[in-house]
Amino acid sequence: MKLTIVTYRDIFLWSERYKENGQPAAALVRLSPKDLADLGIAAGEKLKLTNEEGSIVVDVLAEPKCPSGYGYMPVSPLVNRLTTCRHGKLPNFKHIEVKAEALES
Amino acid sequence: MAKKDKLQPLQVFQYLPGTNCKKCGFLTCFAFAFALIGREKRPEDCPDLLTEQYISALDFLNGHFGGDFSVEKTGLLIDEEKCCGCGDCVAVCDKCQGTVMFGSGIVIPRNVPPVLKIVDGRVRVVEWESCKRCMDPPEYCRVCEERCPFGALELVR
Amino acid sequence: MSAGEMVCTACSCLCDDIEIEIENGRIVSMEKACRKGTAFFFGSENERLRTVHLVDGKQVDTDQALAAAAGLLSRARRPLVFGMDNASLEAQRQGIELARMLGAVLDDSSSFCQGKLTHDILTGTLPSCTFDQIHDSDLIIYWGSNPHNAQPRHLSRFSLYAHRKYHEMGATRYVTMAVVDVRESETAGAGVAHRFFRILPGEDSNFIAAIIEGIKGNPVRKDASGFLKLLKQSRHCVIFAGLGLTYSLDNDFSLFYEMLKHLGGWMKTFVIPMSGHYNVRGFNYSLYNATGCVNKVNFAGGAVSHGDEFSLLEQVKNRAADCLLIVGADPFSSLPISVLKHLDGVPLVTLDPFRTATTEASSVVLGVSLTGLESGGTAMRMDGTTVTLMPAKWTDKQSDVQILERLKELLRP
Repeated sequence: MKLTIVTYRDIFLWSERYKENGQPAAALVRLSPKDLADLGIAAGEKLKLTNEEGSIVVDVLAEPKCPSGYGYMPVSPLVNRLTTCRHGKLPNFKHIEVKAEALES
Repeated sequence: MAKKDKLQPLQVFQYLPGTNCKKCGFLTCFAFAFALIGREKRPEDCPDLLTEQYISALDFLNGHFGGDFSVEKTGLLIDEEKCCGCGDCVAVCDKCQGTVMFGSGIVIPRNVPPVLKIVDGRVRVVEWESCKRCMDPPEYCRVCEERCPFGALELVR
Repeated sequence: MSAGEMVCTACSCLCDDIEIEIENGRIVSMEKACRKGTAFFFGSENERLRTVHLVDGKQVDTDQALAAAAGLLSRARRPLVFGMDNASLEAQRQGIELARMLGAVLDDSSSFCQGKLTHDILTGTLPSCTFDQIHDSDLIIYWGSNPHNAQPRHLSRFSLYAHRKYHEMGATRYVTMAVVDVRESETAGAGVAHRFFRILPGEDSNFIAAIIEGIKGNPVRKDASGFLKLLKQSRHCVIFAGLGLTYSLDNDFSLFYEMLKHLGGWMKTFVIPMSGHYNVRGFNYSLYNATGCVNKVNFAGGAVSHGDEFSLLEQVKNRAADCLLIVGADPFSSLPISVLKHLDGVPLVTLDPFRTATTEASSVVLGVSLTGLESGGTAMRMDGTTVTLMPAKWTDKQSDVQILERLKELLRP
């Protein structure tokens, strides 16, 4: 299933950067309940996001007000494995096109 | 946290057995729901909730009303983990508790120290007596709870 | 024990009312600072998060580290200086002189953040105001920004709650706060924003076009007409443009400016870009005064040239730079890995008070003091006001100004 990822800032994850051994739990994506049902997974399970740049595994959270077909992820070095920058454009931090598939647990 | 995001007594009631068994000391389960929201009782105080049948309801209620907490004199419950230290509550409380309104639109300043303060990035209560809920007669002001963007402050009464 | 006031340099609000208590060289408590600032300064107490002078992973003294850095930079044929968003105005001045002396390309993170808006403010084409002038406004709009997570004290200290006409009690509302965003963030939540306009990701240009159509009197979509109604009631409006707007419009603000021009028919509109690092605006200002451009400058051959090809992203992608001097920036955490892989084999010289992904990848690391806490200077807030930073704590580390000055002396031909 195709998703467009939009990054946002999270102060709690940002503050974790200045703690020793603070592994920020930035591996999460917030999806609409409709997309969760379409993917056949529940909140808290793992989702694999893939595009030409790479692939990451993230936890899923439900956000009722998220429009269908979009996902929100906090800004972190992790999400930068998927971002890219085309010539003469800004990096696509707010418009990352990925393929999402549920991970067999 | 806006009022619509808060757990209302009727929603809590739906997780309770609804048998009105009075083992918790209240006459009805609805009264127990109010006591849970007021943090006067804990979910374990209902014997029926501890049975196998209500295990998911107990988990839900413990998620909201369980854990360690201390409700302050005015009914303010602070969740420091949720606080981002933005100081919105301090700013609005200052505008609200520093003045008293009489009749229609006459605002009289109260000369009192601030109630809330941000210390080490978390909100703290420094002066209870300044809160409008400690006035005589009390004024049940809720601005700090309403304006908190992360829901870190909750007034249980 | 000493207690005093200090300026927080964790974000571009530069809150200057932070009360700090220091005992035996350790911070005991900080009052009024948000979670972001507290984490930043308490984290700086932990020596394992701080940098020391390193050459190829081995700890050396200042002279050796500076000699290694000067060696790398002098051997480079096309050096690139990047960063200085987390440095004082004095350090930026030294850095610009150093780049000019090296004939280097100079860029900062504003080339992929708010550089375009700041450029237009500095050249006078975009009206902007300081935080003091917010008191005259009756409408505050956060467009594509989420201050509660990026600049936590923005509302309580500068905009809505600090507004002279903002009252908690009474029926009349003198100032309205509206949020235009793709996500219902904490700022857009029901308790904070008076009005929230949700748009789909990437839809900002359509939304702006609809507002322009509405001003001309044509029928438009429902949310745009609601937004227009709000604008029609206003006489003085401040728009805080966030990264969401910049990325959605992809740095092409022509439609946004056209909307502002149309709004000028009945109201005053001011735009303040919401920048992330504490002195991005200061870097744009310093470089504009020195060269007439805000970023993406090439000093090669003693002349100043400017163009999109001199941005960090293009330089790295085209493998144009053969040595990078990074001053207080962390491109390895904030940029796409697909771009950064082109940096393989390029020597990096990094000045940073904290250990970051960039310092781990650098050949030479110069550990500097933390500006704001351990060294002073001046910095520019996001609205263009200059704030003086006073050191609150003693340190044996050198400041970035001193390091850059000594590097300049070593490289002087």
